[in-house]
Amino acid sequence: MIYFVKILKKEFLIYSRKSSSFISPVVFFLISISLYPIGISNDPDILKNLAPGLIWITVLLSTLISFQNIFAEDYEDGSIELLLASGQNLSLIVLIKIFVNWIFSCLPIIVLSMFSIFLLYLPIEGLKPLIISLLIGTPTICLFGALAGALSLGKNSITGPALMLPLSLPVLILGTQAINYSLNGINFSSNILLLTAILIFLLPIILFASVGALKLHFN
Amino acid sequence: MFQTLKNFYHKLGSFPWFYKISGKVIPFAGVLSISLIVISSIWGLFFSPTDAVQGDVYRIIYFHVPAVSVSQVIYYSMSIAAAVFLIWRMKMAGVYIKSLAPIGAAFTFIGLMSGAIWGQPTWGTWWVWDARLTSTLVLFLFYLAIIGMQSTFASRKSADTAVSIITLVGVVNLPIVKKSVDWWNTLHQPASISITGESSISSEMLLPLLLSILGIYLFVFFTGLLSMRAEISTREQNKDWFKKVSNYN
Amino acid sequence: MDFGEFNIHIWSVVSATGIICLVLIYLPLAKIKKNESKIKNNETT
Repeated sequence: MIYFVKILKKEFLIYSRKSSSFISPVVFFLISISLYPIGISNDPDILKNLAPGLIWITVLLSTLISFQNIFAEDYEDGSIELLLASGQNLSLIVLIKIFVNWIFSCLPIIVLSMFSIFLLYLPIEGLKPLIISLLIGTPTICLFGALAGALSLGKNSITGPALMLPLSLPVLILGTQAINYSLNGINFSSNILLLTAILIFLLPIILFASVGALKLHFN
Repeated sequence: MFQTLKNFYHKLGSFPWFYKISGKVIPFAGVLSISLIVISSIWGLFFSPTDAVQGDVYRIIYFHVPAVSVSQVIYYSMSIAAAVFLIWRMKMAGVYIKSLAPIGAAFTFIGLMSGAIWGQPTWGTWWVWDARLTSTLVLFLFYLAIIGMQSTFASRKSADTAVSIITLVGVVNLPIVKKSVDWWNTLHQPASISITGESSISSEMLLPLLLSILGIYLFVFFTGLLSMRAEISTREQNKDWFKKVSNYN
Repeated sequence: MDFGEFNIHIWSVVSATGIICLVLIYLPLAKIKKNESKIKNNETT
């Protein structure tokens, strides 16, 4: 147990020392959010309808920037190989890594997505489902990111994103739908529950798969 | 019974045995499947009655429905092979996934394309974001990811394992995608196009359709064997048995 | 369908399907040929 707490602390330290890991998704998010009104229209009515989808898609794309952070550096300096050799419970370590990556790459974006009230004219009723759906949906996306990152380690190919985006489709649909529901005055809790169900259902499967994928690189 | 099955499974895992048997089966499967496809196409295109509502365009059904159904069956069979590969490390399962993925992608593409061409004159649109079409598109993307993953690993075994993992994750995710698109769809466009709405299809139309489905399944069996053979011939190039076989031919 | 009538929708589907099927047959056949002949050449030289 102490061992895992140590790993957690170490991961926190690594991420907080390397500022680019959490600044680049945030910058990407802010730039794209401010580009939509310029590129599409500055009409509040149009933007209001598009806002839920735009925010969710942008969050999805900005995780693409950070998902390689989960394993890439550990792979390059060889610490993953040590972890594999150490005989510790690897899926727990991967879970810790994904969790810390989520805190540093997704949490700031979730906080910043509140600005969409001003920038994309999202009505104030949409804020609560937006935050809740992002809080529950983004961990699932980080899980997919970990799997894609583990599979495409050391290669700069399109396969990581190409694998990750179709997997995240259900989360995207349920997340935007939750916001749209609440804007239309419909109870959105069922969508949140479904998002939670997807997270709980996929968590062990994807963890197992990513550990298997990590092992592939060290035969 | 169980013993013969077990023997068959062990034989299936052997490359020389498979190479020998597939060489014998392939000509028959090829002739049978191609003649079935030709017969059912001619029957469907020229001799089956014209649809009262859609006119002649409905004849695309003889290509669309078999392609879509076989593309899903290929994916499910690939996921079974992926499980077999991950659990029992059967090399043949890796060969199976690698060879069948392009075929599945091709038939998913045929299904999407023929659906679009069918939809344009009949319903006035090439594409609708409804549950069927979207999940077929996602299936196509999974096929592409599987094909793309093949080339990213240096060792054959790692590539096969990675592809098996993706295939299994995909098969877990596909029902979720289907369901979620279903829910999403109900909000935006209630009562949209249902492509297989014609539940009471007349027997004169049904018979060539069944024949064409059978033909396509046999065709997939045929090309599947063929490309598995090709894959084996690439992997086992330097083995003695392969040298013997190819000199004998 | 009358034989003289040309329906572009149907025939584009038919021809595309046919071409894809032919490619699916041709590619593995060519690969097998190539691999087997490679061995033969090695033996003879």
